[in-house]
Amino acid sequence: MKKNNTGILTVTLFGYAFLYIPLVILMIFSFNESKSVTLWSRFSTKWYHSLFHNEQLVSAFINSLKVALLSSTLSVSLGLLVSLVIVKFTKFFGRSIFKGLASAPIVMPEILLGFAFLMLFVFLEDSFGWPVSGSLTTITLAHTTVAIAYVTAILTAQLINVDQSLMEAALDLGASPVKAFFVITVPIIYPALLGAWLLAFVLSFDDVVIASFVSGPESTTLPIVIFSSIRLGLSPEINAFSTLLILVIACFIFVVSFLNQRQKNLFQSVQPLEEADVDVERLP
Amino acid sequence: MMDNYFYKNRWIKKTLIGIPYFWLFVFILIPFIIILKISISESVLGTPPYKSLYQFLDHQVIQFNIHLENYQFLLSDVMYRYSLWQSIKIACISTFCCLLLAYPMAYYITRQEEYRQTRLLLLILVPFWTSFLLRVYAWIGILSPTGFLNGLLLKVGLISEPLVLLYTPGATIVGMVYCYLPFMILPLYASLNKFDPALLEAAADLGSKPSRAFWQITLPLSKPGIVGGCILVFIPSVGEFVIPELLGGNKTLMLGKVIWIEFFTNRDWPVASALAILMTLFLVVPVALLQRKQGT
Amino acid sequence: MAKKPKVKLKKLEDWQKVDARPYLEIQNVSKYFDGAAVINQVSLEIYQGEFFSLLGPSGCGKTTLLRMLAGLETPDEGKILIDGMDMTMVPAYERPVNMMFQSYALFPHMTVEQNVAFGLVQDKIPKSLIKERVQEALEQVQMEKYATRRPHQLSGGQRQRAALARCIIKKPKLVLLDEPLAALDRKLRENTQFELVNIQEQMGLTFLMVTHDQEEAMTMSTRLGIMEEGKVRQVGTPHEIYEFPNSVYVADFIGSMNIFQGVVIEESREHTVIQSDVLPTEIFVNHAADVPCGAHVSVALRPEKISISKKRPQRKYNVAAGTVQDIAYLGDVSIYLIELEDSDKIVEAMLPNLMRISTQEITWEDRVYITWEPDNTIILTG
Repeated sequence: MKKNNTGILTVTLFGYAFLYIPLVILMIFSFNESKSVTLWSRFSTKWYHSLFHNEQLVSAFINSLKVALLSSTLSVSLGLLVSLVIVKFTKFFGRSIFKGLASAPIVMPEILLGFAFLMLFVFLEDSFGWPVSGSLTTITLAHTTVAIAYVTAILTAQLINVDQSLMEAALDLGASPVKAFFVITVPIIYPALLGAWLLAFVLSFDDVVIASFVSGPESTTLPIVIFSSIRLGLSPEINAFSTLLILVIACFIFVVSFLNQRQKNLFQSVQPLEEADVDVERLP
Repeated sequence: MMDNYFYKNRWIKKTLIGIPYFWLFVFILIPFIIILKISISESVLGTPPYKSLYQFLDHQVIQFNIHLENYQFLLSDVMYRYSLWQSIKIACISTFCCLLLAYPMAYYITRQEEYRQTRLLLLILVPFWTSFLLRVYAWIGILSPTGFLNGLLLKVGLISEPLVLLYTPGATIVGMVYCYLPFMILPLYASLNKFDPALLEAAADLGSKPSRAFWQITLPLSKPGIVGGCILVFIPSVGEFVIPELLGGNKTLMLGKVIWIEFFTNRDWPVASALAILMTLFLVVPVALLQRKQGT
Repeated sequence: MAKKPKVKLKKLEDWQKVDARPYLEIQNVSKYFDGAAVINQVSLEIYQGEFFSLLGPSGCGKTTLLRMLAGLETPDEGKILIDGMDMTMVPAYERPVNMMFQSYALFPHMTVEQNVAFGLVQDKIPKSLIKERVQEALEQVQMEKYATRRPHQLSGGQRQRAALARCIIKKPKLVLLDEPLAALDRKLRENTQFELVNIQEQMGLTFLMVTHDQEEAMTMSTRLGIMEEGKVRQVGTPHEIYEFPNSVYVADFIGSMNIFQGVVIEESREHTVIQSDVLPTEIFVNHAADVPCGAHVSVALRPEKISISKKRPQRKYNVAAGTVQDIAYLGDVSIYLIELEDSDKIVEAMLPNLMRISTQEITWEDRVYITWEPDNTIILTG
């Protein structure tokens, strides 16, 4: 097995390097004084300064933030409902269609989704006058719908693992089903909820294709701005932005993972050797 | 199970199911019905850029204008055939490369102790959660003629002129592998992690060489992971737009770009719709059937 | 059906008073699953202060019945009345019933205190009062020291006690226990059996336990109900069930039983004589059987009611000869498996080990005679 091990280890190291080197290069050159990605001239944070003063980027950033916050919160709420329905209600009309619709966006290419949403919004606007095309509303609705699929996938897996008898015990002790859900089930799955929220946030914040279809001139999101500027050429401000983003995301991931680990501990059935103590106390 | 809890009030159950159902119906099912409708409409100038499916003639007779030429056009036109072929080709190569790289990585991770496994997985997730767009952007900086890679090679003296790396199908493949690698690693890891190392020990005990044990036991048992990972990579790759657009240049024409062009440049909504329907049939239906078979 | 001889008991319990009102009434309850009846027309009456056990093999429906009492399932037919009130359609969270789950179902993200207080919090009882009552309940199950621990920090026995405290703190009208001792090891099980009965008696609660362990049920209960395939076969005190089973099923279910098939050849108001193919003599039973001559019956005889000797007893009836095939030494008693001479029927006899086994008379391969007293057998027709 030894020979195999070195081979596998090498490939693995190469894999990790492959994943990280581009990011590292990006981060290093965000501090480069010149625009070049090959020549290092001098350490400078000037690109970070210009980043914060780039009005177009900043307003697009705020738009993206608004949309992402709203769509992630909305999609987690709805996705939770969807997962609940899928896991708990075993018989109802059109259940397989429901499941199919809930997971469809995951396998569809974004271009299809973007196109589909635009068609929907055009039709809705023609028929009902809402939502107004090219506003942040359309982007939010589209992102929410796509995110629901991912949230559902995460939460159904979690909900299935939650012990049914916990809910029943809560009911038995006098809690109504709604109360039992919020007091028992939700705290138990909260890392999954957090993770799902984060995923939805990132999906929304990062989306360029769908946003391109459903946004308008007043409602540009950050990825759209970045995308157009990339087509024109490299811009070190984007490097700076990337660096900041990577750091923030890395922090988030570690926090969520830490919480997840703590939650797992609550479920381990540790049987310490206290049975002996118990017996000794009990004997008359 | 929960069917029982609401025997007091049937309406709660109906509302709980109804709200999400309504949302999914409006925002997913209806768009596709609309696209289907447009795909069989005729293209016209104006807003909306397609003709209505039906119109009322003088004597209250409805005339249907079903226009299947869109589909005919797509299925016969050379450019579409070419882009379909390229999309499949590039997606396949990318999926395969992903698999080659991801499998050893997933394998290595499963062989570690639990706490190390978590850290290694987190390390994979960090790039995964970083902006897709920015990661592609990073590769532009590396592969461009004035980019990092060329600069390095020039400096070292391996080449005398910058290599044309950017704006090629190759660059697209590199970009795809880079972005989709975690999608392949995670299912593989999940699948490999499930199986009992005792199986390998049993094989060794019965006299099997490690390499044989791998081919005959490990690989087949990890098949669900392989299939899952390949689907998660192949399907989005076929319809991928951003990566070929930024890295592939004019030499790479994939389906994603075709829809974009039809829609934004040609303003031919019906053809774009028809293409969307065809893509859906081609991509989503097999996956749905596979999921049903697997019982997911 | 065997007639029960009159046995004098010191205190007349509720379930023996003719006009006592039952606390829990299950009236003709049925539940169907996929067309088959999981619970089939079950009627049961349970009185206040009882420790009632439902005993039966897995799949007989006892757990389903329990869940219907808790309100977690609804009956398809029939009614459930608790303290005179119709609770059939009342959901679990509105019933004065609390259940202890087989897996304990302690909330993992709450401490023992919070778990135990949960029921009181739902009833919106003032905080100071809750604190008092939680302390009281924990003391009753001897868990005061573990109040601030979380479930994953407790051993199996401790979790069970926490679950019990949570269950009784509301002093519910009915306490349901789902196989409470199944997950405990033997020593702990014995101690917990005593504890459970003590708490029940001290607090004057009504307990209904579901179990498949007959020893447990016999030890702890005031009365038992034996279930088979969705029906209740017999209800009675442990003594009644053991000594006077009403069917072969019940007879065989509790403890070991020797069953002889035979035909009634003589009967009167004072006695019955049965002839069996497997026994050389006839069986003499000193009570009437309510069956005519010529009827096929089963005669049930408990192993501990059989005596073994090397000399043939001087009796006309109730004797058989055989060879000792096997002896199972259980420490306090020994079980002898005796193959009867004229047939290959194997009779099980149980004798206390009055002396050390090495010095005992009867050993493997010995030819022995078995006999029993005329009032020790039960005649069963079904």
